[in-house]
Amino acid sequence: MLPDFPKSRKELSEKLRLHLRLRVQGKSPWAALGREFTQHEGRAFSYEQIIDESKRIVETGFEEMVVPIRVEFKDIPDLVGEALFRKLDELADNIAEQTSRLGQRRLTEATQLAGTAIDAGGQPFTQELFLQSESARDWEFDHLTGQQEGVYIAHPQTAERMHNLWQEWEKDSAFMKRVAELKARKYEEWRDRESRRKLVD
Amino acid sequence: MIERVVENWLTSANERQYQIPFCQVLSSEGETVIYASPHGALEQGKDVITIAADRVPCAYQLKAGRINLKGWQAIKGEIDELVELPISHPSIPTGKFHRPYLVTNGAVSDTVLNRIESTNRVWKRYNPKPLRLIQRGELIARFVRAHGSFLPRETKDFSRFLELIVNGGRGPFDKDRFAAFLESIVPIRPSARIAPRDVGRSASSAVLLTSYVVQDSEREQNHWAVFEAWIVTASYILAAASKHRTSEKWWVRSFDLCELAAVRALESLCQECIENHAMFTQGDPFTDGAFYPIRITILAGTLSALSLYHRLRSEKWAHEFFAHDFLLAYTKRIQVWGESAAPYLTMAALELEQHGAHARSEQLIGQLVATIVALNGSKGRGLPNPYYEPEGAVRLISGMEPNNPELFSGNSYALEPLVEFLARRLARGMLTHFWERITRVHFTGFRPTEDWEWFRWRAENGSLDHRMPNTPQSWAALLDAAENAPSDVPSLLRDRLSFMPFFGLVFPHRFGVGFLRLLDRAMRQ
Repeated sequence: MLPDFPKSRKELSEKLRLHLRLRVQGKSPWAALGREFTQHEGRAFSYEQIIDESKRIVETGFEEMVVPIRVEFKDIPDLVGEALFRKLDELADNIAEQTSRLGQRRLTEATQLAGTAIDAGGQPFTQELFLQSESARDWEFDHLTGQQEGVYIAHPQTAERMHNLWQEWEKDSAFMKRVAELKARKYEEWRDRESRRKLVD
Repeated sequence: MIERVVENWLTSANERQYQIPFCQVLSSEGETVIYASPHGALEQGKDVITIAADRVPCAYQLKAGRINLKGWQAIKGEIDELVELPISHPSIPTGKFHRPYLVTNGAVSDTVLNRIESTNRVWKRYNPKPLRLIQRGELIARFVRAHGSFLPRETKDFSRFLELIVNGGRGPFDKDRFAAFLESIVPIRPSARIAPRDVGRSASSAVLLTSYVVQDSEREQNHWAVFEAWIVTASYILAAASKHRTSEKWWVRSFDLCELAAVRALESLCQECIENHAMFTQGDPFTDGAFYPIRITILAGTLSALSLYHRLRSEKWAHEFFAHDFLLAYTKRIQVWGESAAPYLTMAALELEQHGAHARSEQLIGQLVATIVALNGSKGRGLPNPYYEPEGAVRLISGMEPNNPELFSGNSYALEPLVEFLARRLARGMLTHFWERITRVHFTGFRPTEDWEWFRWRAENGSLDHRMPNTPQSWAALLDAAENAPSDVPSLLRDRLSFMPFFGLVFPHRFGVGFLRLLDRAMRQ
């Protein structure tokens, strides 16, 4: 074989993989916010899903993600520095897109099953729709600060529209009163759920 | 190539080191090994006793190195006993003459050969069967023959084998690499059923290959590494037997030899602890502090496992009280490096209970539960899962593996079995105290699809199950579940309860609800 340096290349490869992973997380909220778990053996996994106070076991397996990479021999000698990171960024874009699609699909399936999915049917995002969707889901609060925890994931254009709408809605005291009432109710529900974390007879 | 490996290994082995593999050779040649002196000490000059295929009992005395006239004179008394004293063993009828053998991994000088020939005439008065000699050349040939075709064939397997042999022997045993190597020897890959005889042959070869692999660790007296190696081999024998549903008679002797070798390694570790006057510190004092608590945890677990092994076999163990004193004095020094520490602490807890120290035992498990829920129930990396061995976990949590991004918080493999352990002890107060934090961690457990994959280092088929603790949890229901029969443990493990403490330490990722229910039930009975 030609002269080579496998030990250092392996280390470099690990660093590049870590870089790639962080880039993917930067590009896909699903990759950044999703709960990560490394499975060391086996090909399947199961988890529980809460539906109407009862639990359902979801048995599933892994889904393969394929990212085609094409590198010409002539390009390899120059695949260092900026050129290398550009190539990794292309990969990260592809992986992030697939991750988001998968996350979106899995979440849609789960929320439809749990009955918490709201389909706007292409209609504009309204106060009623917002309150309806917020009402359908469980809210989480920080134990120390009491602040509501949660993240909205939306397409950048939708996110911008939502932001603008919210700025308008904030000026609507009747609407904000309903939001405050909803928050108070959700807080009570959360406290009730939290109070159930105990051993009873 | 294998001849060279056997020759090199045999040259450097002492009689204790080659006793078990020699038993394996005898067994694969059709002799039934009925006794192998457990401590390598001579008993009436007989290190190994067998019954040959023609039903004649045989007694072997093992020696290391060249035997010249001076050496012969030094061992003559033992040889007299070997030849003249009849075998005293329940399996051998009184008055039956045995074949005596002197075995050495070196050569025997011509003068000694002459002496043996002339002395055989004298011994004839006591035993008509003459002393036979097995020397180095014959030994090598018989070892090589015993491997049959179950040897590494691919270059990468042989290279892995050589890397395992020359590992230096001072560090933890590389179970990952060793398991990959064993998978090239023990027939677990083919989907077609293989002949029982071949399962037996592969087991024999695996035992011999393990002897070569652990030679550096043996030389360094790294007993923990030797112990782990033998338990991995024993597990792979169970894997092959379970996969091909092979009757016990084909493989049980090889399995027993592995277990014996593992027990001997732990006995040696215990002896080293007894003789230690440095509070179990070792090496460079500036770096030992970081690893000292891990060493103590490993010692607590292994000594306890050895004691539990003897208890499960209803045997009296001479060092039972040393192990107990060690636990009382040193459990305050233990450290949970990751979830692979859970079996070590559990063995210690079970052993403490055997001495009536129930409160101490529950406190130990309670502390472990507290650590898991504190680290895995909050934001942060969490406690490394059981797939991380002590050194791997320490490297990870100390930032020595900057490229490994794995996170562990939110899940725990050991939490559910430990909760059940406490429930079985009616530790309701402790569990009530912890339950709120327990509910913030998902119970996780791996379930191999088929029984035989339980014994594999990494199963190919199986499901990783995540379960949310109940909110609220009924105490009565928890108690009921904890007392349930262990349903998912393979029958080969159920039939070998005394093997369980060792298996749990070496395969910490199999330490789950079923495993602990079964072990706990066995100990309580």
